[in-house]
Amino acid sequence: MKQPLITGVGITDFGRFPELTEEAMAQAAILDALADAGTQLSEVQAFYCGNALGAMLPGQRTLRELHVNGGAVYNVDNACSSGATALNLALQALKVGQYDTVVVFGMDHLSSLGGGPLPLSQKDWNNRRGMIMPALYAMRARRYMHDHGLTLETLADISVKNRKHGVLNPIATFAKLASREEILASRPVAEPLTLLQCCPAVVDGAAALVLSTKPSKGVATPVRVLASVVQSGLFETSPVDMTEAEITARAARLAYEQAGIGPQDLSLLEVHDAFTISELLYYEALGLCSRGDAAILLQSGATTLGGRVPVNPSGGLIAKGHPPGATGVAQVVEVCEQLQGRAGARQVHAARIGLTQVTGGGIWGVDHAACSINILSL
Amino acid sequence: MKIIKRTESPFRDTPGGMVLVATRMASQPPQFPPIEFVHDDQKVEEVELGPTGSLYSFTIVHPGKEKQPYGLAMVDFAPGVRAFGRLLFGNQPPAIASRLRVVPFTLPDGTPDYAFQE
Repeated sequence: MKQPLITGVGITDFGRFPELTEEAMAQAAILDALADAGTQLSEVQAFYCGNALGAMLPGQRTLRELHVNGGAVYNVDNACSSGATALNLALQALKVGQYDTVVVFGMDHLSSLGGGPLPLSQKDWNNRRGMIMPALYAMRARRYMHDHGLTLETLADISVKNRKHGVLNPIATFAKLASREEILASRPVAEPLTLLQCCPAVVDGAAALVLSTKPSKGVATPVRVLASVVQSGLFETSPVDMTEAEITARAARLAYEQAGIGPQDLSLLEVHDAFTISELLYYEALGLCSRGDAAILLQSGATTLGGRVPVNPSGGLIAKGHPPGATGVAQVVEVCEQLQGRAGARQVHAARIGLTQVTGGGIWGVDHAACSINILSL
Repeated sequence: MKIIKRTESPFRDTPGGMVLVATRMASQPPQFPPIEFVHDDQKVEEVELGPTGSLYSFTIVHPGKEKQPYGLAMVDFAPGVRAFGRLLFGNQPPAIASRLRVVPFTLPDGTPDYAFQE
């Protein structure tokens, strides 16, 4: 079995760019990643494209004007897990020697969709009856507040924290600081979640990785992938505990086993904080704390930059934005830059091992339909 | 293999009140919404939910300035089934664990449907 390395990373600004296209943004991320890896486009044998909301053949639409050599392009749609799932597939091909150098990229251009919550299929039973993603997480938050005494203030503090991180990230052009009071006073979206507790609805972006089993020619130390796991949601019609992020806990168990580490070994995490409550649920599912103790962990400062195990030093989805196809790849870019000591003002001290976690959902009966977790180290 | 679309209503009136109609396939737990398609001669058993259930969680969605807020709820029923639907309420939404009834409701497109109300 060969050992793939991430030899280069690239990412565009995340923000509102209605004048651009997702293809143009993805091209920029790919070219940045290739330059970072010291790799020529002609050396790339296959491309793995994560995209959730674009039209058909997103990878080929991106690559045609780069005049690639006609090798395989794999288009992957796993909702918000698309980019991370693309990475998982690329790693499999590299390990068995099918390819020696590939590019993984992800992108979405939400400016093209006109705003509002992510569009969900109106053929779906729940969605026809008014379900939107913020509502699903709002119901989780409501139940968590009932079961564990979580306060509105603690929910808002996740947004405060990630915004503080986000303004240190030069690509997070949408990031703005906000106080607890401003967050709670912003307009309600799905009670108890207010607007500033949701990732911004219209953010465009792209990210890319170069992976290779050859010696790196990159400008930075290559990054090893200690674990890469993709899991799917279970069909649930019985009264399950919605405050337990079951698929994330299951994927995390597999990832920790694959990497031979535990949550206590992590230096930082990038998690899927599409809503404030999400990050708290993932603290528990990823084993950073016990069930019901997420608020205590947050308030201890451990997950803030400078703390024991910073979570979302990039600003996360709340501050940086969430173009779904790009998010999973962008998280990996952030962790690579942190491990390589290239994260500037948001650098996590002595970062050694980082974890990325992303989920994808939006269909009835399967709370989270997909979850991808990657564990990275130098 | 034949694919058969079920046309039975997912709710009905009973002497005790309106109920939802879940389905159960052989060796599978009951589900709501009921299964829509069956294959060949698969047996489908109907399971009535209600007329009351326990409120597991809820939210009030605020879709924007031009549109009215609306409630959504997850409601647990005795056979071990959780159902999702609109939540109807007056000034204040009910508390978690309240007993809710299944009541008639019309979807925005005019389709007769169900909702939950204390």
